[in-house]
Amino acid sequence: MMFRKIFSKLIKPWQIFLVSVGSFAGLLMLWVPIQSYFDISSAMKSKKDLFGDHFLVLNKTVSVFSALGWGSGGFTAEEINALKSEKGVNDIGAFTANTFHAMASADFGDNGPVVKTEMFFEAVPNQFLDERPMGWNWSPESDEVPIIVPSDYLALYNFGFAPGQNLPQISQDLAKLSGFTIVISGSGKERVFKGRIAGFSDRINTILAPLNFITFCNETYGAKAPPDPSRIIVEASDITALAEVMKSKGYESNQEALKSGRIQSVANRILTITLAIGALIVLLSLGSFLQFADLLIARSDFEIRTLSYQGYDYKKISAIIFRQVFVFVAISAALALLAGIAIRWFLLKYMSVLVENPTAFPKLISFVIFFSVMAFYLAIAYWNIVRQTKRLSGAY
Amino acid sequence: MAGYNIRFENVLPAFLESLQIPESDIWKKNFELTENLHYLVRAHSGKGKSTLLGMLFGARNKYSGQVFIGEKELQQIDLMEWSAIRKDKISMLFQELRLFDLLTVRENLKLKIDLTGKYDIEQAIQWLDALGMADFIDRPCKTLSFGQQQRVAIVRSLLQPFHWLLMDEPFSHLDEYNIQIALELIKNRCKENGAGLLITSLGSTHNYSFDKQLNL
Repeated sequence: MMFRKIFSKLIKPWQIFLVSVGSFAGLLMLWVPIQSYFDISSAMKSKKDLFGDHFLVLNKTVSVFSALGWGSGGFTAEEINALKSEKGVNDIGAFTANTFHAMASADFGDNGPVVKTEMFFEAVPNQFLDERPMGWNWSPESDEVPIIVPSDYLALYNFGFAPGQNLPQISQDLAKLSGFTIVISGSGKERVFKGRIAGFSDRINTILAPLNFITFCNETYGAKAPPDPSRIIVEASDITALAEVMKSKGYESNQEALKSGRIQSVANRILTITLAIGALIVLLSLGSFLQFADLLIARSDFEIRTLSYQGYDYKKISAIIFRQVFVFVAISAALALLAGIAIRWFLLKYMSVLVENPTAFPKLISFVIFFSVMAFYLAIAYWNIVRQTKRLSGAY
Repeated sequence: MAGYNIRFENVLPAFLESLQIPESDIWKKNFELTENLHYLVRAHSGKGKSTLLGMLFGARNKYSGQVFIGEKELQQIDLMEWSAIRKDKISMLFQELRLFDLLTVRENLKLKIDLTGKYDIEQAIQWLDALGMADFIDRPCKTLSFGQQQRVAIVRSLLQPFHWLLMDEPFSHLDEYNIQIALELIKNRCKENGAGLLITSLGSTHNYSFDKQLNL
C-alpha cells in the first residue's frame, strides 16, 4: 500500500490511459489471432485443399503425331523422375490403366432392362485420393470390387440427364447402395465380380479401382504389358513453379484447377506477408507495457535512491516496482482476454461455416501460447527493472 | 567495538581536485574517527560536507584515496552489502531529508520500522512527541514545513540500530529549543547503541560538547 502510494504519483493519469490503451490493444491483437488460429486449424486439417498442397492431374498434350500412333503419349519413368525433382513438387503418382477387357452390366429387375456397357478402370496410389472411402480394399479372394467415380458423373446425371427424362435424382448415398456386375476377361479367362460404388471424387476425373485389383487383373487377364501411364497426379506445394515446368515440357492439366491453384498460391503469399506485418505490429504494441516499466523507472530516481538509503536492497525495490507493472499488465491482459472471448462469442454463429461444432470457449492451447508470450515480455520487463534499479541504487 | 572505526587515507573528492583547497582537517589527511565519539564537521557551503557523509554512506564514490570502515575499504563494498549496512550499521539524515511527500509521517516512519524491526511505532510517536510533532503523525509530509519535516527525518534516522549516525546539517531549520531536545534525543540513542556521531554544520556547535571538531 505504502509502496503503491510512493510510485503511483509518478505517472500522470493521461499517460496511464495511453499506455493502458496500447497494452490492451496489443494484447487483444495478440490474443485474437492465436484464438482464431487454433479454432480454424482443426478445420484446415480436414479441408486440406484450402491453403494446403495442390493436386493436379497432368497429361501430355495430344499432338498429331501421338494421334497417329507415332510415339507414346505416356510418361516414361525418366520423365516422372525428372518431374519429381522439380521445385515445388512433393510427390507423383502414376495412373495405372487396365489392359484387360471389362464389361459392366446392371439388371433392373424381372421386367426391367439390362444395361450393359464396356468399362475402363484406372488406379492411383491411395495417398492421392481425396479421402479413402470405407471398404476401400480388395484381395484376390474377394469377389466384390469397390470403385470411386467422379462426382461430376453423378452431377451430369442429376442435373443434365434426369430432369429431361423425368427420372428421379439420385443422392450419393443412394448411388452407393446400387450394385452391378463386372465381367473381366482376357487371355482366354473370365471372372465375374460384384461392383460397388464406394465413394466419389472431386479431384480425379476417372473411374478408380483399388491399385492391387488393377495390377492383379492386368497380370491375370491382360493382353499385353501395361503401357507407360498417360496421366499422372502431382502433389505440389508451389503451383506457380509447376506451371512453368509444365509449359516448358508440354504437359497440360485442367486449366481451372491450375488457375485456382495459382490464386491460392498468391493468396497464401499475401496471407503470409499480412501475418508477418501483423506479428510485427503486435510485438511493437506489446512493447507498450515495457514502456510502462521504463517510464516508471525513469521517473523513480528519487524513490529508488531513497528506499535504497533506508536499507532496502535493489532486489526488493525491483520486486516492488515489478509488482506495480505486473498488476497493470494483468488487468490489461484480463480485459483483452474478456474482449477477445466476447468477440468470439459474437462470431460463433459465423464460425460454424469454417468449424464444425465450434466450442463455447477457445482452445486451451491458445491460452498456453498467450500466457507464454506474456511471460516472455514480463521476463524482459523484470530483467530491465532489476538492471535499472541496480544502476539507480548505486553510488554516483 | 573498535571494529567500526573510520579511517581516512589521503582522501580528496573528485570535484575538489582542480580547486585550490585551503587547509583542511580531513581532505588529503590520514586519520581515524573512533566509533563511540561525537564529531562536528564544520565548513562553509561547497567544501564537500555532503560529499563526505555521502562517501561514508556508500552514496558517493568519486574520490581519490581510501576510506576504511573497520578493515573494509568502502569502494570494495557491493550494493547488497551496503543495503545491509544501511539497515543496522550506519544511519544517515540527508540535508534534503528524503521523506516521501505523499506518505504520511506515520507511513514514512513505518517504511523504516518494517525494515529494521528494532523499534515500534509507539516508540517513534514518543520521540515525535518530544519534538512537538506527535499531532502530525497522520499528515502527509508534503503538508509540513521544512522544519517540521526535519524533525520527522531526525526521528526516522533514530529508528534503527547503528554504529554510526551521520547527520548533514540536521538543525538548519530548527529553533534553539527544538535543537536542544533533538540533541538530547540523539545523544541518548548514540549512547544506547555505543555509536559514533558525525554532524556537519555551517559553524554553530549548538552548545553541544562534541568530542572533536574538524574543519573541512
